[in-house]
Amino acid sequence: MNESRVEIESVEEQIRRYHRTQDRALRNQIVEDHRWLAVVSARQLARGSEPLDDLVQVAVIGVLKAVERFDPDYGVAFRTFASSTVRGELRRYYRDAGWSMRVPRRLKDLRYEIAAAVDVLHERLDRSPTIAEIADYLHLATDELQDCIAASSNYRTLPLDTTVDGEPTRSRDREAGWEDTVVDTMDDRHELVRMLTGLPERLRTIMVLRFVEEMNQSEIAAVIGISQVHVSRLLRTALTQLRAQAELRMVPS
Amino acid sequence: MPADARFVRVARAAAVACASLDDIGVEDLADLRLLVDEACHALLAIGSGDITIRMASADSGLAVSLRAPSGGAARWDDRRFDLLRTMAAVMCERADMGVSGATAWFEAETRRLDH
Repeated sequence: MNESRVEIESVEEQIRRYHRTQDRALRNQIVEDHRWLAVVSARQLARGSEPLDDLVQVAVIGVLKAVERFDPDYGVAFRTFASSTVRGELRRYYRDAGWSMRVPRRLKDLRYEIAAAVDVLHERLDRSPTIAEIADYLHLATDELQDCIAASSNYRTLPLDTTVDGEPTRSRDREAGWEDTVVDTMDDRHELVRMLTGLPERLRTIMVLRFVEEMNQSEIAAVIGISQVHVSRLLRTALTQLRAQAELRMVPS
Repeated sequence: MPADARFVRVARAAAVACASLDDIGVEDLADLRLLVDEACHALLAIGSGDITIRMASADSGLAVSLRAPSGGAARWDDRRFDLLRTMAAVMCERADMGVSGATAWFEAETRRLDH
């Protein structure tokens, strides 16, 4: 009798029950039920040099964290929330070595929580959330959030000849398709498009979508299948590369 | 801001911190960060001295103004700064740039969130 009730319980309800009862067996069951999500994310973000098993381990920790943090009342499906948490966990694993300056651990953790929170709130509010709204969601003081935002500008920028932006995404094939379409349909005479020719294909596409098509960051994120935070970072990489190219051209004078 | 690219980070963090006190969405904050970054680098490229950055509350959102000695340049080179101009046009409620006397300047107003 009890069993049939458990069978029809949605994962959101299960999590609600777990938060109430703190039943670890139930939590482990939910994590196990979503192990596929960890495996899928680990495969998508795999870079070759890391053993897949290690990545899956990291991703499973992400699922676990998602179960702990998920709030069923926010109206977002657990799967959505969990996949952004898992991706955040994997990215953190990759990026721990990528900081050019020591940033307190807590701030680094926060960065990924913020990225996940932005995704969740964006879906919920149907617009970009404010700092106050993110702070409220993460139960943080606005000051703390601002410190984190300031620290996040310490990311190392990519070298000039980097053709991949440093973060694999969900579907390269889908993106490649977009790149072809967008770049082919652009008016070559457009000055901006001419300037962008030195950029890697992917960065160029994002620049065109943002500054020629005038799509906002979250629209680009939805079209390409990456997060808004990632779009923002790619735009910065593109601008940095363009400046470096301009400076190289200036050298003789 | 000293005429040194290492300080651009400070300028953009300050701009974002000021703007985040206002009712501005994170996406517009991300845009503002890119814009201040680009504008600072542009003034470092054409200017010949420290950059003065002012931020003030405006009707539409935050008004950001950057000024630097023009170093003899009579105007902004259109081709070279086309990207900055385009970015400002796409991202801001209002933006303008020019050279007045011996000062090169860039001004922009961000959009406040409309609920």
